[in-house]
Amino acid sequence: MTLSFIIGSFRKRIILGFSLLIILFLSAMIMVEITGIPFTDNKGTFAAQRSKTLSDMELASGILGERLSSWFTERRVDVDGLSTSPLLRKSIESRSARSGKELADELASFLASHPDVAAVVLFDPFTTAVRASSGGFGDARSAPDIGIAPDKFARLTLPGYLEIVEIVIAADKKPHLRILRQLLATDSSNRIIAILVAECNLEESLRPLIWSVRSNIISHEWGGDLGVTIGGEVAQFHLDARGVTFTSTPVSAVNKFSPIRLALSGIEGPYYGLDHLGQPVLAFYRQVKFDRGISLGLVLKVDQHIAAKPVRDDLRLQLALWFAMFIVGLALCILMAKQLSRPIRELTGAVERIASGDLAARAPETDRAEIGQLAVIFNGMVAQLQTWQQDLEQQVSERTKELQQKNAELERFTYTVSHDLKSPIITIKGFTGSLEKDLAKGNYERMAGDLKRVSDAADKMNDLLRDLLELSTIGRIIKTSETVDMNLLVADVLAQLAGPLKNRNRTVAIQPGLPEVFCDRRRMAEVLQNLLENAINYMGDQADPQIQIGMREEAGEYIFFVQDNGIGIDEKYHKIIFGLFNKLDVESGGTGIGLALVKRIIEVHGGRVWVESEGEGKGSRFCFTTTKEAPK
Amino acid sequence: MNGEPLTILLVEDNPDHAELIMRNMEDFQVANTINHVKDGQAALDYLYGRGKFVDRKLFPMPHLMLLDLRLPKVDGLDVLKEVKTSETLRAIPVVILTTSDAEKDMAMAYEYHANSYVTKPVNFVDFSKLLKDLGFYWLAWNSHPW
Repeated sequence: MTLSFIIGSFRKRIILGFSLLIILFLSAMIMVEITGIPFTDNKGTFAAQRSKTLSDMELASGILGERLSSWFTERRVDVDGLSTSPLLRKSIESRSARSGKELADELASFLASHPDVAAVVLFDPFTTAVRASSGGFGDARSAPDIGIAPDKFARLTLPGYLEIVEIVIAADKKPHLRILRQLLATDSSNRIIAILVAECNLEESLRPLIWSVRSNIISHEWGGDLGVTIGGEVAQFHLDARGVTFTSTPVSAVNKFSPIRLALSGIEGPYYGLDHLGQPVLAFYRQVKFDRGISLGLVLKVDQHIAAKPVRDDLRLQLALWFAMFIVGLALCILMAKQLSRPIRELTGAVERIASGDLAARAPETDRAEIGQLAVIFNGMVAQLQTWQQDLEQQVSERTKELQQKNAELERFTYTVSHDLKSPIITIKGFTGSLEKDLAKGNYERMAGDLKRVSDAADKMNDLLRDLLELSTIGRIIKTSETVDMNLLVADVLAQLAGPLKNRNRTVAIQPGLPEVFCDRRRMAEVLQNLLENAINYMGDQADPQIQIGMREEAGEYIFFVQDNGIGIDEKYHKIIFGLFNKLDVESGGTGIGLALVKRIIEVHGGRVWVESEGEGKGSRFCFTTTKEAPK
Repeated sequence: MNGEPLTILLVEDNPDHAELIMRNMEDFQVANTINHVKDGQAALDYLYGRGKFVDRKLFPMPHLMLLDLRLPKVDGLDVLKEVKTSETLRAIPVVILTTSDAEKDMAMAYEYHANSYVTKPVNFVDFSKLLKDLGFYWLAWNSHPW
């Protein structure tokens, strides 16, 4: 079983081939779209999208980092502003009865004008007791209450140890930015008069900050992690569409190569893998450095699935287009295949008709293209075939007719011969029988007559056999044809017939300038001799006997004639007089072979012979044709 | 024999054969008259009483016709056809007496309603006997309608 057997027709093959081509082409396009071109910068749309997302993230994280850094600096400036306020410092120094209330008011006023600062408290540098507080530190009585150990507090009271900035886990278990600051006396003595502690709830503060950034430069689909290491724990804010959540995890529990750890360790770069929730993400991480040795790890991330969504949507659209193109292509292909195979099918139809014997059928000569040319050539071939067939049929028909004629002729010949040869035998046997009878009776009267009849019958038989023999040799001797001058031939024949002509007082008029004829000279002489003898013998009682020999030219052949004004021949005998041993006049001499011989000779030469006579007493004209040219 | 003069019309182109036939017929004396013509045209002229055969006393309607087939001018078969299609002549018994034993001739002769078809025997004794039998059968034994 071959492939072509499975695929089927030419048309199906074209359709299949082109469909495969279209599929291959479109698939290649899609593949390039997805995977890019090998060994080039084109790595496909997914990679392009990824790298675009990452570069966006890099940019966005940079901006976000700047903002965070600014925010941090701003808070320090805020606290610096408060801690250097002469008014506040004077209030602390005054230590009046009202000062506690005044301080608290001032702090509250500060908080009111600085919404990012959540709580502020003033400690006495010697007793660590709270001088005044506002915001979240309302319950605290002394420094340890807010997690400031005495040794740390002692450090804060050292001169020149102006400021400590740190991130701590506050009472609400969330990271707070804490700024601890020495407040100095107003008299330029650098005497520490109070310790100021201000805290910002990072979650509360960063949320609007980050959201403001998100709305501008960060895609809504992105999330982020903001992490910081505090006392062996990694405290993280996770930002996503739902808001900000907080986790705190021991450092050891966070994968060393997770983006947040990498960011915290001061590296920046893209990340492609699982996030802390085990989700596959595309992320960019970087460290955001603040002053005072504080740094945050910042990770911007997006679910890989979501990141690829625009590309997937795009691809889906492309696939839909691809499919539409395939359908259109297939339809065009079928149309084209039909168009292509139509001439072939038509040709096949014509060939089938011709094969089934209809040689008149022709293939449609549709165009000048290959199939059209094939059709033209094929039609030429069929036309040739048809001509041959027609020629052949005609030849067969002619040959058959000829054979039938020959057969009929032969049958007539055999019949004639058997009839005519039997006649003398019956005569001979009949009269010898009669003679025996007469002899027995002694009746001698008619014996001489009967004997003569027997003798004549034997002579007749002899004549018949001689004539038959001559007739049968004509076909064989005819080969020696030559160009014969008919003027000379007629003269020769007339010279031979000089005796009979003179005896019966006949003259012959010859048309001058007879042409040359290609024939068997001796046979042609026989023809003329027989026709002339007939003209001489069957003159009847014509008072002015005339015999003419002439020629006329008709349709490319010579028609010779021997004409007399003798007894003539009735039209009904015009055919049978050329039959073998046929005689119109029983009394006349000869066997009746003459005209049969003439007919045979002329026909062997390829001519025809006939008689023209208007009837008895009107004379006759025996005509025969000869070809002008010698046969090639 | 009812004393009526019986006439045979012999159509034969071969004078020798005609002589033999007539000689035999005369020997057996079955017919009063044998009229001999040499071709088909003459035979038809005789039967229709045309030309030199106009006198029915000399050339009466025959009681039997002996007809050769190969005849000059009008062929024997054509004469037979003419006789057998003619209202006035078809009653005449026609015996084809010919040298031809071709099946085609015989078939054609019967096709044209020949009454009998006999081939001339080569043997003289047979020839004589045939003519004798023919004469007796058709003229003496056979009843004719007129």
